Amino acid sequence: VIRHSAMYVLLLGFAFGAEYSLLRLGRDLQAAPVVRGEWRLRAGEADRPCFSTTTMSIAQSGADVEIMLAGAPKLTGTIAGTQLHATASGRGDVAAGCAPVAVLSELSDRSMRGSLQLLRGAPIPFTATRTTADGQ
Amino acid sequence: MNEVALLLAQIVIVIVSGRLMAALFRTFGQPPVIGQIAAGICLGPTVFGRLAPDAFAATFAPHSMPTLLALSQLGLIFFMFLVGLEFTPEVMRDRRESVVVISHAGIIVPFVLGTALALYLYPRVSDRSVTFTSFALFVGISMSITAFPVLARILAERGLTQTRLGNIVIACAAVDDVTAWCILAVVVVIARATAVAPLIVNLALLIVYAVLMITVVRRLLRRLSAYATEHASSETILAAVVILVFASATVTEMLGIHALFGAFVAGAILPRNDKVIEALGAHIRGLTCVVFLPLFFAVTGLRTNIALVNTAELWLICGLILLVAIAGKIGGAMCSAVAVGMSWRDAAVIGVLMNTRGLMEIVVLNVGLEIGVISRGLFTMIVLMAIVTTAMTTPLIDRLMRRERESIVTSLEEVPV
Repeated sequence: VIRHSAMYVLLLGFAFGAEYSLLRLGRDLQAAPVVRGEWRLRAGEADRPCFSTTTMSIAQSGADVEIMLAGAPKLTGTIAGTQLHATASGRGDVAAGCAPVAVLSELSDRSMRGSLQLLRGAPIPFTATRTTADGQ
Repeated sequence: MNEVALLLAQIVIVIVSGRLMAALFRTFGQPPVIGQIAAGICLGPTVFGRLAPDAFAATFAPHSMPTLLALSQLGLIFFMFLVGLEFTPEVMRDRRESVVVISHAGIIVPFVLGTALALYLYPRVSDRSVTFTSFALFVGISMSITAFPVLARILAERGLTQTRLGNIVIACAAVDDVTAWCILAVVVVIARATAVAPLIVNLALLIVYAVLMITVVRRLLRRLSAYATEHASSETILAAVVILVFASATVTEMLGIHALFGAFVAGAILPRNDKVIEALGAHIRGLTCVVFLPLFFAVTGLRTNIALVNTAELWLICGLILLVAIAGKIGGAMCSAVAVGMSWRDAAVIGVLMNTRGLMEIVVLNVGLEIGVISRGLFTMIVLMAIVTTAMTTPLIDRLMRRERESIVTSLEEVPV
């Protein structure tokens, strides 16, 4: 019994010591910012004839994102630091040439600023603000 | 199709596919739970959603999900009640000290390794809505789970339940189950807490709840059971048990723990050796295993999307999770078993059996996804780990226990007819 008790105390000591150290070690780690949810897009007036979508929906799993824009193929990508980069994962309905095939964006608290690359033509600069709460 | 018809069709599809896959996996010597989990994944976005997206969208329409989810939760509550009911402290009557040391080493080692792994995982597969502490503790507990029901079934199918080694493994798994659920309850409270003060209050309430259930409610139930066995009908007793399960689940949910913990405690404190309660357990088990659990597997499959593990780095992470889970569980249980004086072969058997994750891991993962501690990508990776660790148990155990089974057969042959 004494031998088992000593082993058990050692085991618990190891567990608490190791957990405390590991949790302290990880407390300054940064995960990807939360971008999942609905976003309202604002593009320049001059780009309206080609690009009319005003909402963007983002699904997120860790640093990986899926961006859904109305009438465009799904864009998939990742967040690295405060940069979000996504590209079209399938051909989809991009025949019109106006469908976005890539998004490059700089993230801040509840907004993002970036550009949409269309199949043809110059990239369209945009700003977007989140319309749903974090994590919804 | 109206909503009721859609729900009924979903139930039929889920039960039929689950039974077929379970039968298929049985032919490969695998426990039915592997087939049921595989059936769930096949019905989800990974297979059905990819092969026939329109049919998938019509069969599992988003508006029908809340009902399916509610039914699966109901099934899980009953399942956890049964897990609690199957916990018998008497299994620890032999070598109690060894059992506690082996079992807790089998939790502590993978838990610590899981927390260390979280240092690598957090920046890659989590987001800022989750704190590192909650994430790391959850990864730790998800590495530490042992599936008591699957393990007991593997031993029973091989006729090893009544052997000395079988008894020790059963006892270790039972202690593992109770300890892991207690740790999970604390982790959920920590993950849900928004500040330190409510966290301390909730942890204190958790302790008060557990003490009240184990002392006052348990004693009350013992008296009620003796009275009800003589005076009440079995329907009245069933109603009383169901009320107890749901009341306990409601209390733990309100305390910020999780409804499943309340159901588990309700099962664990019910009086043992009572024929009426054992018969009721059998009734609840039948309905739960045949109807409700397949729905839970389907919901898990709908949440699992292997397409989310789409880069070499994510597959590497998946491999790391598997490595840590196996090394932690087998290594922890095996080394501690040798330390308490068992042979290396027996220690290896204990380690391999304790490595079975099965259904319990899936339950824990769904809790993590519901409270938002893990992302869907990480959920998928740990589901894959649960499948691999469960599937590897049977062939490994057959290899390790060949000699022991032969000796059992020989001793049975020696018994005079």
